[in-house]
Amino acid sequence: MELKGASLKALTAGTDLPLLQKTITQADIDRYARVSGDFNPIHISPEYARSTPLGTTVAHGMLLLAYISQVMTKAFGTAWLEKGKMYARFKAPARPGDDISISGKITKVDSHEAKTTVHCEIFCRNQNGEELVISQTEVQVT
Amino acid sequence: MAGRKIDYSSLDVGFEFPPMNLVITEDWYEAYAEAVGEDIGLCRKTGLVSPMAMLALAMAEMSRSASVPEGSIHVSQTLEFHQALRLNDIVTATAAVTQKIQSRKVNLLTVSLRLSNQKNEQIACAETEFVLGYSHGA
Repeated sequence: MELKGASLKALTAGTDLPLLQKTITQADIDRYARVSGDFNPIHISPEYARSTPLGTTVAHGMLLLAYISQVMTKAFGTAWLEKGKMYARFKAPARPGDDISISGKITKVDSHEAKTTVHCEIFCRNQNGEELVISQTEVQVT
Repeated sequence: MAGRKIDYSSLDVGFEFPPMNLVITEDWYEAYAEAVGEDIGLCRKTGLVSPMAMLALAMAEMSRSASVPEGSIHVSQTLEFHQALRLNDIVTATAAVTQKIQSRKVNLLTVSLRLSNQKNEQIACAETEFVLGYSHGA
């Protein structure tokens, strides 16, 4: 997909990306475990998790990355599905009961010859404002 | 899959997972979209699927042949995709251990993954870094 006209002009550094908010539940985590085949007890067994330094189960990192990808899809449509890059660093775990927000902004727009690449920074934070994931993404829009 | 799983903690740099052939079916993608709360409307309209779904499916397939020690934690993820992936594309995934760092308290493992489609075109590559297992009481 190519963004044209007004959509393309709106791509400037500092522009906010769509905000995504989710509440993490153990049911969400269990559902992701079933679809991904990742049944590591740190995700699905509260009893096991209590015996670790984490103390509680935690969401799969890939679940949080899926949320980040949704923000990019909302912002850039199929352009994100066709050509993109993501680097994500996990800073803290998301736990059942956490209200998390995934927010970000455009940090740079590179136009070179016929190609325009948009660089973004996206944060996943919990209800206390703690950063859970920091991600840099890139998408080629033309 | 029959047979014993390989333990990730026994893997060394250079270990290659058996190549995997993967297909994102409509049923699996619907289940994935429900699990991550993703709107499947775009997929219904275009046939395109999220690259995160393919990564999740590849990791699920890898978990059939190798088990991650209990308590392992995802530390970082790099993902680069070069072209769109469609429902029912046949994807070949190859994965290898590219880094292993062992210290007294932390064991870090990096696995690189390459995905190509039925035309043998590279569609994505990824690098997953995780800490292997928390030792209790550490």
